[in-house]
This record gives sequence, structure tokens and C-alpha cells, in this order.
Amino acid sequence: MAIATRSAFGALVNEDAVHRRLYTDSNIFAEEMRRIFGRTWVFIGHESEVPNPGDFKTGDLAGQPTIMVRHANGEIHVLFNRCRHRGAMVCAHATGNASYFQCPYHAWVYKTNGDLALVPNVELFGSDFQLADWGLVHVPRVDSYGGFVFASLSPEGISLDEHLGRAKHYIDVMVGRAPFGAIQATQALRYEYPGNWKFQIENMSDNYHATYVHASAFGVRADMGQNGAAHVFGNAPNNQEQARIERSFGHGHGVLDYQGTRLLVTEPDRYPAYFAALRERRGEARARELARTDLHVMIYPNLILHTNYNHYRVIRPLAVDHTEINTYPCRLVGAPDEVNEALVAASALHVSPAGRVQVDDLEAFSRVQRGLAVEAAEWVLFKMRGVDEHVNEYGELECRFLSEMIPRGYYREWLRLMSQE
Amino acid sequence: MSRESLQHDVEQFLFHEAELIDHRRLDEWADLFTDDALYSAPNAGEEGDPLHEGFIIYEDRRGITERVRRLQHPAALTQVPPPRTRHMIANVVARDGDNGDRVVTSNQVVYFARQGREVQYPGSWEHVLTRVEDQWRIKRKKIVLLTNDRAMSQVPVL
Repeated sequence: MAIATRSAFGALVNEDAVHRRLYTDSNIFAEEMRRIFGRTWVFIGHESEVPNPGDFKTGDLAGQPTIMVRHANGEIHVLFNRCRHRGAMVCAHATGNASYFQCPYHAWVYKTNGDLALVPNVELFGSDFQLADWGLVHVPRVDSYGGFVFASLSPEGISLDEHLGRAKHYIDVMVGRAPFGAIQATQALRYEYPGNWKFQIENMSDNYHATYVHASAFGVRADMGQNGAAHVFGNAPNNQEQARIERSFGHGHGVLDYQGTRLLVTEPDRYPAYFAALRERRGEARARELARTDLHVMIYPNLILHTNYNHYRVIRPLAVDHTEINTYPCRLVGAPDEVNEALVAASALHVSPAGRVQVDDLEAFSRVQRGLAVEAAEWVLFKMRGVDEHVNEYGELECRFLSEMIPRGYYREWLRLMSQE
Repeated sequence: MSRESLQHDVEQFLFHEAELIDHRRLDEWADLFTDDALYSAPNAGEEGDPLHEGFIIYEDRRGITERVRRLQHPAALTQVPPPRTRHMIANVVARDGDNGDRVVTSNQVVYFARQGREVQYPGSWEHVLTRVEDQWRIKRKKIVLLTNDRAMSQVPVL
């Protein structure tokens, strides 16, 4: 079935509900790859994943294999992982260090900036064959902010700066929580689920589910008290939830701001050495604010920042009903080892496939995917209204917990992107 | 204790531990660990340096207790119904550790079955066993899954 008109997609997205086919129709998934992941700014990786010249990470953009690599001069390139000769992927490793990429098939050799350096039997390719014409193809647009590298398959469009908008402020906060103003990614935790990619970004802006889906993680935490491994979940009393704020802004982005109502790994009193290092650079007031920041930042469509456990999650859609998530716990550069160890442990408990929290979300996602096979009930609801919804001084739509305001923003952006040819 | 009987002894311990997990006698399983235990599984590579690598499991004795209580909690979505597991244990090699401890390496495969779905988790297990009141207890347990370079969804007790 072809879907090509604005009205066709418009019929699937209401202000506060979307049609089940957004999660079940493989034709719509193919269109999402073309019109969303094939067009807008998509997160590729953080610069700290490739700290040294020659460091690379492979991945994909809208299903097309890519390499993010740091060239000898320090510049980061995002290249298509496809030999210009017959098309083989020139790099098969997930991560590593290379001084060049050599195609395994006929041994064409490319530099880490993509330039073609060597072709065996080049004299047989004719006198008009120029190496300079056959370098690895660069992804049309690449830009970064705070070390977060994004790429766009569209040669034209708004700048990354404009796309991120207010999200830059939240990236600044995440990076600024490190005493030296930098984060260092560690190896990714990887998990998958038999469900649509949009469940993950919906879930991260949803504090409605947490009490129920995570009743076991919360409940055990409450039973055991808040000492010891307190780096898992806070047990802020429910009466503090009204202090929590949601924001929706820009191109589908959103923020849950817990306003210090959950237990924090970086609580100023827990790790005095960390706080002292932060205070030295930032001053008492700002350091306290940064240390106590607890945000989920959803940067549409595929990046989520979690400032408490200090990781970022990347959504990798594989099929309409199959999604992979890569979560990168990050060290706060300049923080004591014990803080960084606690952050890694917190992510292991929270988002690992052997952890306590995300596994229950995955179970919920798989049940949603199966439930949405029911044709008699067509709509998925986002009707929950936040308290005191208003536009704040930064132009963000803001309200108090709980609400489904942020996903309504996702679907406005979804429809905008899907409606462009 | 002779070399043969020591080998037999540590093998029997691993079999016993596996039986406790597979029959969901998880409180008894948690009690096998010493108070200063570390239970870990690096999510990539084998070294398991918490400052440079991630972990799918990284917890102390308290964390192990918390894991067990959560798995037994009636609201744990992934545990109702519970997965059924079987540990297969082979290539058990024991060597001397510090202060009379034994370092035991083994190859294990955990078969996981739940709601018609089956997954295998093969890998290398390393136990550091110590004698407490004439019983073996686990001071360190580290698991390196062969599949730790790919995405997983619901890893059982390993």
C-alpha cells in the first residue's frame, strides 16, 4: 500500500492520539527511514568514542552502513562504509583503530578521511581513472555540539544548531557536570526488543509507567532502605512529584526535569571530592545546581541523555517490530574514580539486559507490539494533560508531572517530517 | 585434601550453585556469596575495568540480595511467569589462589526458556572460592559471555 500524501499521514496522527499502524505497518517504517532517519539530524556517536587518530566506530544511518572515524589531523569524518569499486563494506569491526581501511575484496585502500590511496593494478583502469574521484562517500552533512556528532543524509536543511535549539543547553548541563567539562563514553550496553523504535523514546518521557512497570525495582529499593547501593533508584516521596517539570520544544525534543526529587549518584554530600572539584571551576551555586541536575533529555529522533546515571542511549530501528538500543555509560572527566565507578554500576543496574529496570520496560514494549495487532482498536492515546501547561521564558512548552505532552510533541514533528516529499 | 578430591569438591560446588539457580532457590544462592563478594559480567571484552568498560552485571553482596528480591517480587514483569533455566557446566579447572582460596574456571551454557522462546548464554565463568566455616563461599564471580558483543534482551541469573 502506498502512502505518499500529507493527508494520508495526517489521518494517522491526531493532536492526542496516533494510529496503531505507526507501530505495525512495515510500509510506514520504510517511509520513516526515508523521511525521518533519511533526512533530519540523526545522532551518530560521541567524539569521546573515538579519542585518538584512527579510532573508528561503525554504525548505520537509516539502515545504511557508516563509519565515524577520527583522521590523523584530529577531524572526525562520517563516511559511508561502502567500497567505491564493487560495494563491500570496507570495515567490519564495531570499533577499533585503523591507519587506513582496506576493502577485503580487491584490496582498495582508503585513508581515514575517506580518500582513495591505492588501487591494485590501477594501470588497467584506464588513463582517465583518478583516485581523487573514488574516495569513500561522505555523509552529506555532519556537525557536532558538546562532542555529540550528528549527521544528515539530506544535503540541505536547517543547521544542527537550529535543529538542537534549546537542547544545546541540556547538553551543556550534561557535559558541565564533569569537573573538567567533558564526558568520556565507555563501551555500550546493548539490548534489543521485539517492538517498534518509538516505544523507547515515548518511554523515556513517560513517568506515568514507572510506578507500575518498575514496581519490583522500586518496591525492593523501598524495602531495603536508601543506604548501600543507593545509586539505583531514588524513592522520593510521591508528594514531591509535583515539583517535577516536563518540557517540550523545538523539533520534537523534550525534557523530564526531576528537580532533585530522586536520589542522585552525584549528590554533593556523597562524594565531597567530586563536588569540591566541580565547585573549584564553577563556583558553589552553579556546582550545586549541576551536581543535583537530574534530566531525561529526548533529542528527536534517536538520542536520549540521562544525566543522573550519566549515560546516553541511542535508538537503532531495525524493523517495524525490532529495535536495538545502545546505552553508553559515561565517565565524568575529572571526577574521582569512585564516582565514575558508581555511575557505571548505576547504568549496569538500570539499563543492562541483566539489570532490574529496563528489562521490565522491554517486556512492556513487546506486549504493546503484540497488542497493537488488534485492528478493532485503532488508536494509541496520549491524552494525559499536564498541570499548569504554559510557554516558559525559553519558548518551551512546560507543565508539571504527569502528562503525555512530550510525546504529543514527537508526533507533531513526526507528521511534519513525514509530510515532506 | 588430594588433588582429585579437591577437583571433585569444587565441581560439586558449581553443580550445587547451578541447581540453586535453576530451581529458583535464590535466597540460598545469594547466601553462597561472602559479605565482600563482587559479582560481575563485562559487557564487552574480558577485562572488566569499571572505569573503561561497561558491565551488564556489577554488584556487591547487597546488590545480589537486591537482585534476588526483585526477581521474587510479584510485580516483576519478566518473572511472571518465571524463565526456566538450566546451567550446563564443563571444562572445570581449579588452581590455587591467595590465602588458600581456589580460582575455578569453567565453561558454562545457560539455557533460557520462557513463553515459547529459547535463548542460550554460553561463556567463561570464573569463581574465586574461599573457605568459610569449612564450606566453600564465593568471593568473586565473573562471567564473560561469548555473546557479549551483541544486543541481548533478558539475561537470566548466570
